[in-house]
Amino acid sequence: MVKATQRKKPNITIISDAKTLNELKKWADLKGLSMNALINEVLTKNIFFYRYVSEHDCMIIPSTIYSNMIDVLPEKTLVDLVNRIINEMVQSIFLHNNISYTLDNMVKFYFENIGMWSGLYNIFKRYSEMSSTNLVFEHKYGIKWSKIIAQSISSLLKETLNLSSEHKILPSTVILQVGKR
Amino acid sequence: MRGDPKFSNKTNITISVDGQIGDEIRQYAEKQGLSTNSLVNKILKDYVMFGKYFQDHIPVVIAPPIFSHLLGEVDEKIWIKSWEIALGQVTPEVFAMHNLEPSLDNLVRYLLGDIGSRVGIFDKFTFHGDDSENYKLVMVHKYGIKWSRVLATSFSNMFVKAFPVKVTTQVSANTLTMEIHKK
Repeated sequence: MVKATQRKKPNITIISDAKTLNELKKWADLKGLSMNALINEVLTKNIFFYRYVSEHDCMIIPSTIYSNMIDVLPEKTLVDLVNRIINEMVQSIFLHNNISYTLDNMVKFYFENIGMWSGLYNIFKRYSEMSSTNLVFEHKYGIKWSKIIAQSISSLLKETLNLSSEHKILPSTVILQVGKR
Repeated sequence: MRGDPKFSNKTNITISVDGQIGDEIRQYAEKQGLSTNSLVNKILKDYVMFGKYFQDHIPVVIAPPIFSHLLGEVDEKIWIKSWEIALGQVTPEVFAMHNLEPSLDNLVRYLLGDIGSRVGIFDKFTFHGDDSENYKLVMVHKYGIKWSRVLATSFSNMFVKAFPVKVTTQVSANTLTMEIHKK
């Protein structure tokens, strides 16, 4: 049923129902992608993220509910919780996929993808200056969440990569300036 | 468009898969006892069903031990109020997105049956319905009595607000049983 060749970009032939394929085609057109690119994006997201979500029986909660939780919980409690969320997910995914701990991999596999897919922020950008790298996280949860994200991600960088960082926070944005070792 | 797969017939497509993803997919399928074809189809169907909604709304993903902690820390009334607001927003959007009638049957089968267990609200969902649209729903989860009560109140209020029904619930540590009767 499935034929794949052992090339760098192998082909997979699948048999799928027309309804699913038509929906995918519509969404690929909306995003300005080829269907092949969309399917690759979907499969990558599944392998790197939803497999973890499914294997760990994770809860997926609407952002409205999460926003209310942020309002009522003390900052310290939230920092502890987010530290756990991030650390557990990073460790599991990096180990499972045999990814080494470098800043580039952290950006590529966590900040640009998993961190965003898990709902901690919705936009991530990275830019480099002479002696530092700036990581920018945008979200929709207000200044309290900016403080929490700043502390938790600083702590992640310190614990996993031994990198120190300074942060600037705004109501919907966190800028982390990471010094080069 | 360049990069679009070649359709050999209505439902047969060939895609070029990036780097290690093809191998990962094959290994994951094998681990689950599925063919690669079945797994890829399941992933694509899930994407069609949920992917766009998740892309637009960016829900938050939380591992069970952390969710249990969060559940314990926050007052039950706040959980119930939050769920009522969320259900009020999510339900019409999901029905509109999939072009479904907002009927009692679709709410039970689709919102709870398809979506509820996939997003981890409960681990197992079963229901029995009769021709008069009376239902008995059973939800099994791992989060204790407080979660049973939160779900019981939130879902009961959702059903009662949307339809002329009477809802009775029974809660225990990991199970919620709900009976819905048309008035």
